[in-house]
Amino acid sequence: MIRRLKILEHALSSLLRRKYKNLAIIVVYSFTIMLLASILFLTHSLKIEAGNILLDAPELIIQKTMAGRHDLIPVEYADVIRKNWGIGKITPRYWGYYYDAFTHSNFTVLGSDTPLPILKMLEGTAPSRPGECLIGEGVAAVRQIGIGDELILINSEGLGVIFDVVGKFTASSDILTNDLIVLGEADTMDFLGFPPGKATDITVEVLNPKEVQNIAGKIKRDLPDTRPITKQEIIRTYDAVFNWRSGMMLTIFSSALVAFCILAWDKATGISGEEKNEIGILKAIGWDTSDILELKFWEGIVISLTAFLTGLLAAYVHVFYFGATILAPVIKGWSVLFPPFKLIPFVNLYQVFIIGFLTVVPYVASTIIPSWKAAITDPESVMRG
Amino acid sequence: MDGHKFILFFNTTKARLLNVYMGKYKIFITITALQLTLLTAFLLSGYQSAQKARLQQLRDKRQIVRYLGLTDLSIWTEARYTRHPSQSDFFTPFQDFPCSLEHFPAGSIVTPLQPDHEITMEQTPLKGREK
Amino acid sequence: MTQDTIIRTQGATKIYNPTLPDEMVALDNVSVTIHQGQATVLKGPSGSGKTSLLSIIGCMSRPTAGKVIVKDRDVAKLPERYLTHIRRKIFGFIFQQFNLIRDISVQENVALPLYPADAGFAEIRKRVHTMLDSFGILSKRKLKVKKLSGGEQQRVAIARALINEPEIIIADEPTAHLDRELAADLLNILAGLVREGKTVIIATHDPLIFEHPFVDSTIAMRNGKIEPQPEEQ
Ligand SMILES: Nc1ncnc2c1ncn2[C@@H]1O[C@H](COP(=O)(O)OP(=O)(O)O)[C@@H](O)[C@H]1O
Ligand SMILES: [Mg+2]
Repeated sequence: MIRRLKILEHALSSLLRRKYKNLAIIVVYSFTIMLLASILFLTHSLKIEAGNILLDAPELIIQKTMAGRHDLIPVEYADVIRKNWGIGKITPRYWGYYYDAFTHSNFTVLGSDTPLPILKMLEGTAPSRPGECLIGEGVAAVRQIGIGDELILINSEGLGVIFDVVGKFTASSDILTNDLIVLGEADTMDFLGFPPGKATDITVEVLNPKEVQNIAGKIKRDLPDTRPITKQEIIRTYDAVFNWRSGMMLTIFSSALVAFCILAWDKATGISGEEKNEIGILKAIGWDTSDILELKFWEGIVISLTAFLTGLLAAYVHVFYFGATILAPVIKGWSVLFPPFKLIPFVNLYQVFIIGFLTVVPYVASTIIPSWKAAITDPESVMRG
Repeated sequence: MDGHKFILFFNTTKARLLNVYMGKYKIFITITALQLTLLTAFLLSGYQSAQKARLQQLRDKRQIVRYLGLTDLSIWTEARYTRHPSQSDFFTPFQDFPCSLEHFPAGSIVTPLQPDHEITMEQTPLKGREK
Repeated sequence: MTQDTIIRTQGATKIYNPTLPDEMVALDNVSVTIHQGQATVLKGPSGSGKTSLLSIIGCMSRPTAGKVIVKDRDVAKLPERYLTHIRRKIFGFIFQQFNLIRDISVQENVALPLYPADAGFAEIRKRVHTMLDSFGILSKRKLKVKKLSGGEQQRVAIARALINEPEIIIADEPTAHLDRELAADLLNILAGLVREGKTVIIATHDPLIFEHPFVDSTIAMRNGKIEPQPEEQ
């Protein structure tokens, strides 16, 4: 043990000799690791959150398609659906999009007459009378309004409509509600210009979750121009979306990693004559081949472990305390409304170990391997300058 | 005068730190231990707050999802297929596979999900020959 | 006065790059005897094989053929690990070019041979201080080696060779890079070591050394062979 510490001591002395160079390597390496870890932390946390909250999404959604595109669904389709066994409530939904030319942002307009329960994430109430609305934090922010103010939107006939803001979702629910404008159902139909008897889609409650596939298949057969979407598909979609987003970012930033590897490789492969001579000296004064390799091992560990831990800590703070500010421009795309990430720190330890393994091991290897040859040759050469 | 003293102090401290004889390993081990402790603290407190969030925040969010019948996260609002990826069109132009991601360049790289229920040819009655 | 044999070579041969076009026979069937507690000088022109002989005697490399018996043990065929062990326990080396690590401190240079050994940090510190003190360079212990003068560097190199209390000190052309005065200093130090009972082996072609009174015996080399010695008869 003491012997290991002594060799570590010399490794540190060795590294301190080129302290600015090694410091630069640690900084660059830490930064690279921070970016990679941030991406993984961010997408993992979002994925877990999505998987958790969407558990309460409707079990089955029936869309109508027309000319290969999503179309409004006739409300009387509900009667056909109701004929199936094992079905609970069937609810037509009225929702759509609203492009706000004032702020160049897209809002989601949603009709709902269900009174919301009391929630920490909700200030005020849901609309209970015509002309009232409940808005998300993002809408409130770009429009610079709050509870008690008026929200003026332009309807499908080009006329301005005034809604009283009676409720607002707080920022903690941004990930779900940022761009939402909740109106009463009648207001929504009127505002978005739904033809009578048509809804956006129909949600179907399925009493036995195991029957969802079965029922979806039956509905598809009974109503060939519809498309059923199951909750399972929604959740899987989010898995795919975040895997994809993370993959895209990893691709971008892996170029940084590759650049770093080239640097490390370059540094490592050509060990200088000076270093070879030093290894010879150490061997001549009684260091064993294994001692030399251990020295190189420590040199690699000191740099890569420090960089790994620094990068990981920085990533954690960056993602979970600062809302991934560095990554935000990359993830945001061009949308105007974008929720600040207040992420729940779901961390996958397995991922942490993978990052550690992928950063520390190759670096240590690239320090040890090039010294191998010098370490096993006889020290005789140092006697001849 | 003060600046001079400071520089002197800085230099001697630096020299002391860098020249610690047979004690550099202690500095390294201390720093690494500190980092590990900090990381463990972060992960543990993160785990705790995640557990708490699971009970509070997530429960609230699930309520919102349930009462409003939401299906998607409000993260990307630039288009329908980013705002509501799970509700995207079946057959929009240039998207020729059900459940494929309609997002450049994702669509060309990510394998579309297999839809859970597709009508097969055998199940499909032919026009004019319905039974 | 009993003269115990401490090192003996029997028909030691060293061939560099055997079977290649640039094959070089550096030692050709060399048999020498080194006595304990004596100062032995290897003399001979450059290229005569002095360094090659020192290197197989000092367990820095193995002979191509023949035996090298160090303290009654043939080391010629020992595996690498044992050679390292013997180097660490028995030998101290003073090289022609000091072979110090120039960018680290004096005290660390001197301490390096003790790192792979059993000594703890406190003991190492104590031994290094004592050693540096005896060479009058204790006050320079925290300086980097490259900041020292040639003479001081020489003393650091000797201190490092002695720190593991070796029985045998091997010095290859130790005065080659020193001026007269420093060379004389060095010889005094070496003479002192012999007086303490250490075995000293020096390779040189510097007459200052082999005419020095502390030298007990001289072995002359030429073209990888031992030349017969008139005065030894
Ligand atoms: N690694 C080597 N490869 C080939 N020839 C070598 C090698 N090392 C030494 N020699 C040759 O061996 C001979 C003896 O060298 P050396 O023992 O260094 O002599 P000295 O120390 O007396 O000058 C010289 O001719 C030298 O060129
Ligand atoms: Mg020589």
